[in-house]
Amino acid sequence: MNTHRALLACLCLTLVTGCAPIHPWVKPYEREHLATRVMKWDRDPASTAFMAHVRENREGARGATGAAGGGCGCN
Amino acid sequence: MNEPAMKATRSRLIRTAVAVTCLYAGTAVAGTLPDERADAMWRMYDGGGIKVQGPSVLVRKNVTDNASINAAYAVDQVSGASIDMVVLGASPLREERKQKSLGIDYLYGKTTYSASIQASTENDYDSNTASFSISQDMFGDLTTVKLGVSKGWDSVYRVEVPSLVRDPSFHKRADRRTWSLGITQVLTRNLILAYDQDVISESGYLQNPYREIRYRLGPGSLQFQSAAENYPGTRTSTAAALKLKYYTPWRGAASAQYRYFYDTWKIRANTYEVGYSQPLRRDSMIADLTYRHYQQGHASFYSDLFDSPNQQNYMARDRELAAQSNNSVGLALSFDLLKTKRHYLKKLSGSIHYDYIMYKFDDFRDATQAQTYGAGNEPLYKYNANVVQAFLTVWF
Repeated sequence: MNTHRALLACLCLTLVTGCAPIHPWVKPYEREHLATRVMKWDRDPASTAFMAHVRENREGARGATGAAGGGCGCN
Repeated sequence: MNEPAMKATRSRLIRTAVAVTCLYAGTAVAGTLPDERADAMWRMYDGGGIKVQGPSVLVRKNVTDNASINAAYAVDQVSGASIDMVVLGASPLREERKQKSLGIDYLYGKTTYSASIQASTENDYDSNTASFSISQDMFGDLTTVKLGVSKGWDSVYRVEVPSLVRDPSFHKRADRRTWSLGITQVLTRNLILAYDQDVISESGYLQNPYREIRYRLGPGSLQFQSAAENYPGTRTSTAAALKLKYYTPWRGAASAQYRYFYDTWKIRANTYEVGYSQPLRRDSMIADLTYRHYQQGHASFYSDLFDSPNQQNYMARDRELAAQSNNSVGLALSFDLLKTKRHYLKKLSGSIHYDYIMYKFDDFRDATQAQTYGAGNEPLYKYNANVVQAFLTVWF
């Protein structure tokens, strides 16, 4: 019986905490480093797109590069 | 004002400035439009007998507080002869590819809607793509989820050499659909993680109209003959990439990423990439160094040398489908040329990127040496490529 009560208490606790709002563990004022230029994923989009095109035309794999390609240019 | 009062005022001002900067930096991570900038670039690829060079222009501009438009135009002038063309005895080509695109990003609260269209034309290939994506910041802006879809319509032609006029009797189509998922997660104040996954489904004419397979003239023969390639009419591929970026104590950024790829043609590929970016000269310059390793297995219907022209239903000798690997080293330097407080010009910067790529094939042989070594005994093909990009960027 005690085990059931303990399990029920754990379940209730889980549900209650699950409904609580998520508090960001990195506050907005702590994101100074993340906002610097060197931390950007795609600092120069034109360059990223060109390199993705160069590689996709010579490799069998494609995708998940964050760049849109087009055309063939694959001689 | 006496000395202690001045110190207290200065201290308050510094605290306020730091707080404002940090708040601005925080909001810059999430729910913002792309930078307003214009890039004018010249770029070149030179390797494997082919040289591709030409200009490209990209402009991104906010039209309202919530909307940003972008437009791009690029020209690739292709010249030279690849190993496939040399084997076929074709003369070196000189052709041009033009690509233009137009896009819009619309920000509504923490959601960014993006749409774009893109068209690419060349002598024997036209490609049109329409894309749409939704990006949502959530969980205190620590997480960004992006969902995207795009559809492409390609037309494949064959040109007559040397006139480069399209053969009117040859026109094939290929369709492409891409579904994308991207998740970016702030892990700590110095570490960020991203996961990207693309599923691409293609159907139609997925091969090159000129390329041919080669097969032995007889059992054990060292002579070969050529025949038309035949590809499956569909291909579905999945690529998943995991990326990490870390802000170092030296104010630089170290990055690492891994991508796994597989498709219904039984190609499996692994890509590993590491990089480091370091601001120099009071942040007026950024130096980047990257290393990338790529490795793939061959497609199920690929062979360098078949036994007969009817050995199997699907047959290909495209080196893109061969087992291969490449290693590349990249160096980049970006430097500020001018900074102003004018609203139409905040900064002018220049950038130079150089990549050296070493391609090596495990089952694609140099058929130009078949006379010397005999078909199937030629050395494995390998070549090196240089990629150069030089561009000016205006921020406004």
